[in-house]
Amino acid sequence: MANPATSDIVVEASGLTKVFSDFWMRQKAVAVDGVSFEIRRDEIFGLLGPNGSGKSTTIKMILGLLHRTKGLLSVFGREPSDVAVKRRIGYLPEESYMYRFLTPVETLDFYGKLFGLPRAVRRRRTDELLEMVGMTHAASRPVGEFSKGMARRLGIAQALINDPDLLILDEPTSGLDPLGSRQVKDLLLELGARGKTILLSSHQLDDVQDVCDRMVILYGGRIRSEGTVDQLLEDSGRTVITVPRLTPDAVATVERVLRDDAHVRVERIAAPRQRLEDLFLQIVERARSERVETSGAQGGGPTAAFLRADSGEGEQLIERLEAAAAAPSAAAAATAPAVPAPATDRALLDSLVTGRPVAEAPAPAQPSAPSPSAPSPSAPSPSAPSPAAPAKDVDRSVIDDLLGGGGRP
Amino acid sequence: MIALLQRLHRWLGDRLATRAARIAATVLAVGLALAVGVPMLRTASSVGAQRQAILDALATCSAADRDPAAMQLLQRGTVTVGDREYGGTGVVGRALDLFDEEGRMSPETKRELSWRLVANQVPAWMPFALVKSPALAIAAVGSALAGALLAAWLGFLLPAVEVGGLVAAAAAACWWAGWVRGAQWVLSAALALLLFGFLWRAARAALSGRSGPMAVASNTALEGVRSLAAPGFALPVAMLLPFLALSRERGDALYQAIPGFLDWGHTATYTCGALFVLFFGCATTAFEIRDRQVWSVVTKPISHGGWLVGKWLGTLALGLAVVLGGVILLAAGTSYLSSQRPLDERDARDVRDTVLVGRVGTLPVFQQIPEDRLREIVDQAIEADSVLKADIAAGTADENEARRNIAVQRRKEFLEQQRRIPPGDAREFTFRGLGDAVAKGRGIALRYKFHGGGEDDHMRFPAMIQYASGKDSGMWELREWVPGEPYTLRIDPRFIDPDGTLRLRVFSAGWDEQANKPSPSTITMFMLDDSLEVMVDESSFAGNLLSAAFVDACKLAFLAALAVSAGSILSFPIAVLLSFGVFAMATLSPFLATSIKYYSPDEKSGIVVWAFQEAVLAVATAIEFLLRGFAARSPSDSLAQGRAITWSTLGETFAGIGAAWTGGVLLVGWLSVRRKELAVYSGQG
Repeated sequence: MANPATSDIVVEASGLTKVFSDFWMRQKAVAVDGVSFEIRRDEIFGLLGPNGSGKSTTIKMILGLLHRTKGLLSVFGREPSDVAVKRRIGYLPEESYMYRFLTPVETLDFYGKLFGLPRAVRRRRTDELLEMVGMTHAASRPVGEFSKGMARRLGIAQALINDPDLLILDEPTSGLDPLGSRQVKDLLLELGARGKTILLSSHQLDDVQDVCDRMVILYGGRIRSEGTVDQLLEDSGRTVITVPRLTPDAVATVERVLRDDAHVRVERIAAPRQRLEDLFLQIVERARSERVETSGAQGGGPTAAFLRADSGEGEQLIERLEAAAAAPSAAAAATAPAVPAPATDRALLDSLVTGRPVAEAPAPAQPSAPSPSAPSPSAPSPSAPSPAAPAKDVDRSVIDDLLGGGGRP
Repeated sequence: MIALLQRLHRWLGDRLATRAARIAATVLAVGLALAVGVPMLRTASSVGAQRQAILDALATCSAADRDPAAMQLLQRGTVTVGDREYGGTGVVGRALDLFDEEGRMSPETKRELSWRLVANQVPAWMPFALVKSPALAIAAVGSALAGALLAAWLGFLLPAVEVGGLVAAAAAACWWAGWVRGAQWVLSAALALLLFGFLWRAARAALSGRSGPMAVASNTALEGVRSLAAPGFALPVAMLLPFLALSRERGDALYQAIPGFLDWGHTATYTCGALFVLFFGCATTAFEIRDRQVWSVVTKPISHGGWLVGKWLGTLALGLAVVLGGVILLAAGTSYLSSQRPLDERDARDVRDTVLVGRVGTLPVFQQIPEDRLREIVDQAIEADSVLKADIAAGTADENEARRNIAVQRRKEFLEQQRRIPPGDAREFTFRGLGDAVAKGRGIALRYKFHGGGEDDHMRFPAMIQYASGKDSGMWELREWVPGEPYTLRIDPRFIDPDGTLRLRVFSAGWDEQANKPSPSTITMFMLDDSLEVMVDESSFAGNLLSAAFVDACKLAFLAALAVSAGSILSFPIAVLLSFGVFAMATLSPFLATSIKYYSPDEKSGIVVWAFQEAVLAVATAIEFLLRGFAARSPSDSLAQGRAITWSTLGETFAGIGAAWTGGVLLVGWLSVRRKELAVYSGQG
């Protein structure tokens, strides 16, 4: 189990194996085979893999729903079956197994009681969570009448009732529309920024890519690949440059410059397409602005106050530093990593357009382009305004250095 | 039609949700309470005053002193108070029974008689129990008013109006059709269901708590109500008990109607409660594991054992609501029946002395054959039986077994001899341990039920009972008896020795008035195990009823533990099979014991068959041994026979069934479920 030196490790698995046997103790399936990984504090960790790869089995062993056959597994330095550990965990199963006869209010109240929360706290959190997941209008309806998506939203709410330190989500966006999926992702990012540790298992590769810091890819119960998103996804063999729309002449000029000066053949030039998700969100936003009625789940509200509650001066410091990092300053500039100044980019682009070379050395390679799932500049985000969720590409290294190495890597 | 009803429902809901409707409902409820309550209280007050005047008139009533009030009662069956006469021919027929052997009227008799004399002053619409107790009338009206106000201001006006309207319509239809009892039954059943509703709410309130097991328990109780499982098992109780109470015919004796109501009513209550905890206990755990709701629970800070305990508590709470509701209905029904007019004075006395009491019985001490004498008898029997003697000598018969069989036979015959009284003969019976009852001034009565050959309930036979102990030893009573009918004879403490011994001589004879001497009966009297018993008043009827509820609660606790433990390990059908099987065997264990007595493996049918029969016998014996305590304590019989459920019985039941059995079963369940993998393999292959 974890020693004080590794208190940053929330979940530690070493040689974890799970073999299912039948009634006669004959081996039926090896669901997890010698898996080793660590989930560190404050990170969002992804479990990827096709059906039957061992993702859910691994999660169930972490939660104590299954017992491991071999290997070591610890959660917060203790056995997974330890009841005290569960006080710090929130769990969303792959299907929302709720009590059909309870209303959402009663459901959250019940789970709140299991955590020993006082009545006033339960009430407050219930109201905030239902508003957050857009279920306030259905608060008094039995869960048995819900659609899958509505039940899923309620499942997310119950996973957060105790403001967990470790949030385990098995297919969190399953059954949700794109709007709901976006809200879940934003919520996960915000929770991660608040220092929550999140274990995410999903088939939706975009979801994992957008939010996870590190991930493992399972197949046949074994880890096939692991690393950060950048490490796994970066294609070091190519460079993508995004510019405003060019005329055919400008395009030809660019091709010629790259061919003649950089000796690189352009493989593809195309106009990017708007993502279907963005189109969907635009349509929904327009309908909302026209106040069209719906009996289904409505757009979620802001993140529940207790989930974004100020935990102390650390939060204020981070916000101040982020604000400072957004404005150019000598200190930020001195310690900033090699992020090319916009002026350099613009000069290069201008030269490509005009055909005149630039006097300065070529700018270093741009960092990888923003994720395709991020809203394009031309399409304003249709989702409800969410509170300060830091953009994915905000440089946190300044903040990390000032905080002495804490926070996400 | 349905659409119209739905529209009406919505319209009504909108109207009744307004403030004006609530105020109107409040005014109406208060007006109705006054309109009903005031006349009730006036009637109760008036009748009470008349009754007190009658009691004053009977204060010095004594037939021995030839008191005018006593003479009027004996001759005309009436009592005069002021310018009014109460009573009539209905009383004069049995006026003699109002006085004891010394011509005096006991205070209890005066109280009963006074109520009977004013009974026809009570209007038909007013329950007699409310006349007897104005406080109860105030409580009833007050409760109804409080319930109406709560319904109006807590948002229950619509269901109250709809359900109340339906009930009122059904009752009115019965009334209009001339079926008055039907109307009473509909209203009683509706009130009974309302009672169960309150009990379910109370159960949930009792289970409110922040701990994991209490949260699970409260949730389980809510599941039982909303899934209609609890209402489904409470409905038969709510409908049957009022029906039983109201189905008494005018010619039925109360001392038979009330025990019958108690027996059937309590059996129905307990059975419904037991079946509910068995089925619901298995369902709530088995289905929660199958449908995986348990994942969302045990991944919270609650152990598997805590979850199991919570399930048990929730199931038990709902089962107790069924039992408690049934007990309240039993009390109400008994109160209603005992307020009805008895057949005669004896009927009224028997109800008072033998039904609405809690008594402890003492059986007579029979003589035993001394060991030396028994040995002599056995030796003589063997000596007289040349065949048996030869077999013993040859070794083909086991001497010890033969001697044992002869001894058992002779003891049985000796005992039967003591229980048989030929015509003109007598037997003496001794009862010990009555000193405590005498010292505490408890009521003591002899309960006797004789049998005769060719029992005919139209034949009456004479018997004489002589007191052979105490200060006035030698006095005797002449009684008539019908074969198989139980009778009661009050025993005066002066007939009991200082050491608490009562000796009675029973003669199978009557008294010849002309010859002025005993004359033999024409039939031999037989007595069974329960034919002769001295009963001592130990508790009140209400206390006995509560004790019965406590015994039921202990049994339900065990059954609930059995059901939730089985459901947490097995699938629902198998869990129900196991739980119901144990319940059936436990309930039928007395019959099982009798069957075992007469079951013997047959060695001559082959080794395989014999081995199988031995195995069956071994299993049956083990089951009967383990479960014999369950059915041995049956409150239904005790209530019906007016027998007290003693403190020792309560203690044994709690320690045995309530604690040991229940705890043992929960422990087995906990051991099985604590390491159980609640998730399943969901991958490929």
